Formats: sequence, structure tokens, C-alpha cells
Amino acid sequence: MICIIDYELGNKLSIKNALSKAGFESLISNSKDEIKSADSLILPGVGSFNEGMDNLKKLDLIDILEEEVLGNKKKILGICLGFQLMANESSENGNTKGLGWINNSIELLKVKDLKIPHVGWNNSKVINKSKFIEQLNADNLLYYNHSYAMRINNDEKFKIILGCEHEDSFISLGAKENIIGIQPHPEKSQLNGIKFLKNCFGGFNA
Amino acid sequence: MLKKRIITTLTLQNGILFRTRNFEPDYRYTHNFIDMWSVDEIIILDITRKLKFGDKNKKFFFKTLEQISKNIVVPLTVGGGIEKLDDIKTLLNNGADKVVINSVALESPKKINSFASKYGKQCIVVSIDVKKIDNEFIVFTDYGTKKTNYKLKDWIKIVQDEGAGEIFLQSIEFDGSLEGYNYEMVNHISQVINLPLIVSSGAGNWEHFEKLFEFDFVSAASTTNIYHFTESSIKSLKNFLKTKKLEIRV
Repeated sequence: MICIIDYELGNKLSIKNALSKAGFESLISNSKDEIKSADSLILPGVGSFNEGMDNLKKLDLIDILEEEVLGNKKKILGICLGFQLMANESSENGNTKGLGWINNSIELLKVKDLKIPHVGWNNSKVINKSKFIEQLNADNLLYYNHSYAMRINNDEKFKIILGCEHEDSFISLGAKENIIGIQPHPEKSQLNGIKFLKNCFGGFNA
Repeated sequence: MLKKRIITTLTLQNGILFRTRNFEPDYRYTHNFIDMWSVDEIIILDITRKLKFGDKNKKFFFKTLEQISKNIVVPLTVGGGIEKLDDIKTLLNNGADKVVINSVALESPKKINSFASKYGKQCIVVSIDVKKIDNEFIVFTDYGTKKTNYKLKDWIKIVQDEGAGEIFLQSIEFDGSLEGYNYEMVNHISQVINLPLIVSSGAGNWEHFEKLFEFDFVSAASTTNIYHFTESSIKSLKNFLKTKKLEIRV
């Protein structure tokens, strides 16, 4: 059972629908018992960084998440904002401290000619081979919708799998042991997204 | 490189799908007509007049939204009647990934900012309905029925300053015409637009899309008249655009 963490932001139902297409059972919850008993976790996206951190605090979810993710090494996938929250900090709406599981910062994409938000289907480049991206086709085309991103990797243990470019370059997919972060939305990325979710929750670690 | 998007816009009245002509429901159809795998994004608008989120009849809309969201794996942008933050939450909980606002922004432009601060600007699409009057492009509100005091370019600047994430531009006279997009209107805003732009209203053949994408600042082409987009038609449109050397996801 996969638990999609409900922190009152994000497109949780879309993720649940895509997981069911990929063949996984899931539930949407913020109950500590359900987070504990789940096999894997998803931290969904769609929201602003400060609002996301405020909600995790308000719902008292940080301790239980750290216990499961850092202590028990339970697999967790962060999607879009969910991925960004795993970083040290973000400059969205002023500086906000993140969960600090990945030793990187979230910054506004630096563009001059192209527009942000970076919205739509973009291809990505394989930086490190990984089972997570097996069988993805057409240049790893995935759906993005964001203005902020993890642009630089300072965390030696965090392995970049996919990188993307929108004038600026940023991390599209990366993993650090049981912690997996993806900037685009696999739940909205047609067959590539479903294949990724299958790879991700089919038993592989990074 | 970011691909140009092909978007299908579905208009619903009391939970039933209609195509529109000049913003009025015109022809009923079923959502089986949409090629769920080829389309890049779907926009769903509730065009039931004066229907508030708290109204019990809104449930017909939510029911259809839930059914559609179960069957697709592309982004779903949803709007119609949004007034407050809670309405956005309700839509996201019912299968939406982004939302479209219109009249609420015209009544109170500051709300764009308050919605974007909570859900991120990438979640807030502002739809703009336009009609040409006395040689000026004028913004309309209330499902295209009421004239506002805003000229198109002035309103776009406000929307961008308030922190919207995308602009969805519709032409009231061109809606359902099948005679091509309102290229004059698109050209008119070329110097002010700095957000991703979705253009809607008027597509009738593949060349209309090609001509629209000649404006390189256009991010996406939308069409509501999907009755001729049966099964593989979006796929053939995309193959056509690909032969014209456009960046398209096929």
C-alpha cells in the first residue's frame, strides 16, 4: 500500500488515479498510523513552498515523516513541490527552510528569452543510468509545471538521474537511497509517467 | 526543448458535455470522442450560468470531472465559477491539477495574487474573453456576456503583475466559427505577453494551428469543437504539425 501524504495541497486524486493505472493500491491520508503502516510514501506537489512547509508543521507530520524516511528508510517519492520540500530551503515567496533531506537549494529558474512558469512537455537527458527510467521512450518526455527548481547539486549522496533544460538547466529526477525526487509530474505524463511509477514502486531502490 | 501543446477544452453544462458557438451551448457530445493519449492537456469549464460552488447542482459537474480524471493521464485544468481559495481546493480534490479563473479576477484582481501565493503561480490560469468593439479589443466577463472597462493589453499587464501562471485567451466572436484563430488579436498582444499563452476559439483545420504557432510566443493551441476530432484526429493533427518542423509531442 502506498500512502499519498495529504498536507492539504496538491493534486492527490490525480496521483491516486495514475497509481491505480500503474497497478498499485494507494490511499490519501495524513494519519500517523497509516503513514507508519504504508509500504511506501508519496509527497505530492502543486502549491507554494512556504505554504507546503507551514502545512506539514500545522498537521504535525514532520516528525513521523523523518522517523519513517530517515529512520526506517521507507521509500518516499517527492513530486514537484513534494520533491522541492525535501531540500534545505527555497527562495519562493522569501526564504523558507525545507525538510533538509537533500543538501540542496530551490531557486527560481534563470531565463531571459524563454518564459516561466516552465509549463508543458519537455525532454530530459540521462545523467546517470537508473532502473527508474527503464523503458521510458521519446527522450524521456515528461510534463512539467513550475518556476522554481533544484538547479545545482551539492549533495554527494544525491544521484542525478535525469536533467532538463529550459534555458537554465535543473534536476529533473534524482535519488538518495530511499529518497526519490522528481520535478515533472509522472501522474500526468501519459505512458512515460506510468512506466516511471511502475519502476519506482516495483521494488527497486536507487 | 519545450513542446507546443495541443489542448482540448470541454465545456460542461449541468455536468453534460457541450460544444459551444459564440459562447452558447450548441451541440451535445460524449467524452468518448477525445483521444486521451494524444492530447497534451485538457481544460474543463463549467459553463452553467450562476452556479456557485456551494450549490447542490454543482455535484453533477464534480461527478463528470471525477469520471474524466479517472480515465486520463494528462494535466487537467478546471474552471467555471471559482470565487475563493476553498473552491480551488475542492477542484484539486476532485481531480484537477490546475485551475482557470476569470470573472473573480476581473472583480478583484488582487485575488489572483492571493490564489497564487497559496497554490503557486503555476496552478493559476487566467482566462480572458475578448470581443472587438469599435476597433478595440475589449475584455468581457460573466461568460462573455458583460463588457468590462478593460482593454486587452491593459488587462494582460495587470494579470501578469498579480502573479498568474498562464493566460488562456478566447475570442468570443471566433468561438465555434471554424474559420481560424483570431490572429489579429494574438498579434496585438505580442509585445506585452510574458507568460505561457494558450490561444482558443476558431480552429477548423490543421493549417489554422500551423498559422497560430507561427507566433513563437504561443505555447498552446486549444479547441473546443472536438466533434471532428474523433479517435485518431489529434494524432493526425500532431503528425501534420511535426512535418511542419514544429516541436510537438507525438
